[in-house]
Amino acid sequence: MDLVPIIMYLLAIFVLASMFSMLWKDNPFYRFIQYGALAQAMTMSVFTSWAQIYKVAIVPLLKGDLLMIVPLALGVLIFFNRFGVKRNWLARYPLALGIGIGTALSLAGAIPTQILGQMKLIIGRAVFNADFVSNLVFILTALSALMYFFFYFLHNTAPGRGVSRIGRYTIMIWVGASFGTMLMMNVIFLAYTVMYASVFGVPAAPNDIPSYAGAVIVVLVMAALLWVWNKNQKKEPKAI
Amino acid sequence: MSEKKSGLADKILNLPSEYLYGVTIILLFISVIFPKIPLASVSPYVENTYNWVNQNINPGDIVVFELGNDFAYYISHMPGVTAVLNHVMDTAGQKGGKIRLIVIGHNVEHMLIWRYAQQGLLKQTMDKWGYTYGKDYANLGIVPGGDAGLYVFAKNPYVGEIDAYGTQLKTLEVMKDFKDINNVKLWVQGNWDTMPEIRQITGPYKTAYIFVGHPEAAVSSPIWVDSNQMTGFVAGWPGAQMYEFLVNKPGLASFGSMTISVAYLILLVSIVICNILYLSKKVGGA
Repeated sequence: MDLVPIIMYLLAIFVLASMFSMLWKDNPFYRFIQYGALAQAMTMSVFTSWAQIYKVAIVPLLKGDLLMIVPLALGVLIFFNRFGVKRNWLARYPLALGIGIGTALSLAGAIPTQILGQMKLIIGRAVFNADFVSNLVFILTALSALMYFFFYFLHNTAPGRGVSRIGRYTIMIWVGASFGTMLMMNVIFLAYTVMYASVFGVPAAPNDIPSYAGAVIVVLVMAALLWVWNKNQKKEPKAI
Repeated sequence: MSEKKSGLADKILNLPSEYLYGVTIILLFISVIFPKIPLASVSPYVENTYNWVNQNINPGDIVVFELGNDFAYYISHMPGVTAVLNHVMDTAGQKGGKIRLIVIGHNVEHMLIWRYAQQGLLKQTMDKWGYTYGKDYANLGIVPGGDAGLYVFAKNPYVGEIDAYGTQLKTLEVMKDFKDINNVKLWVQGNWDTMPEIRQITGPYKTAYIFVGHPEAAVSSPIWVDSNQMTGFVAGWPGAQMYEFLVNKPGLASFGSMTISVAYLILLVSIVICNILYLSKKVGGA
């Protein structure tokens, strides 16, 4: 039997148990995993960035595409941000270019889709859609939310105040719904963790010993080590 | 009487949190070990997405699958993208052929997610219909740069020159006749941000676009479908459960929804009990 998936599973259980141990208190297992995750993220980020630069710029340059010197040089200029006040102005050029191109492309795409596309939807709903109640709610919601944000100079008038208040309530409903669904995402993470530990792990280890037994042993050993660690912790002096 | 009440309330409210966490974990484990699939009421948006795939996907179509998140957020749309892509491949298979699947990513963890999770989840369907790497599907690796990256990729999919494993894109059979985004029949995205794709792909090119996002997509995505800038969406595990129900293949989302329901129930019960205790304490103390 292949031992690699079993070892991976037990390692995963160790990581999960270490993360959940934070619910009890800060401890060495949790800190080890926390720093490990940070190191992994940094390593992945640096490695992938380098691989991407190598693939997109360095390989074509080595093949004779001299134009690739321009983006590479701009990339190097970014580092001048760290070379003191006298030279850090050089870093502004690649930053300005990147932000400029990004903003230009985003705006060019946003006008027909996010602005005109949504305006078409509201007008289309108002004129063509047969569902009267749904339309009314939709249009009132859209206009009152717009009123709350953009036409604040009308907030001093009685009708303006009323409409913007409706806008505020609709925004609050949206924020509440978003928060609820974001909470669900965290619940999904918890559910998946539990599912992974109990169902999607390796079903059986060699000699027909269930691998869950291994997982239980990992958790029990960790608990014992934590108990010893906690006992040896110096007790903080009580405040007088 | 009131003192007794407030004493009991104090005791319960000051219960060590470790006990509560322990009970929560045990209840969640029970819900996983004895799963029951709750009934799913299918949202019209998910149903329309399912119907669109049934009616429009044909053998030979190019489908781009874009993975956008890190491992943590990927979990929230993993069952959804699995259900949709399996359905897309099954639909083409039942019509007598295969789609051409192009995989791209944005996040540094893209290759890890593809290699250790997503590929395995699609393996059964790929083996069933005989998908082979290079001929029927390819992973082009990371397309960096957000809006700018998508803008360039839409005009020239060969910009990276090599795939994620170092093979020249021009030599891959799956890339044959794939000149620009106009050749793509469907863009499936697993991510939590839909804006760059709407601005650079569906807006200018009118490409069919299925968004598989986290649960919040249920709140934010309908306006994009209603304004014809998105073909359909599947929001988190609840959306994935609906899709699994429609394709009649219970998967991760169907089995996991009981655990999610139990977790929510624990949250709600805790909130209700704590409020009652707080009120009883307040009344008792008054």
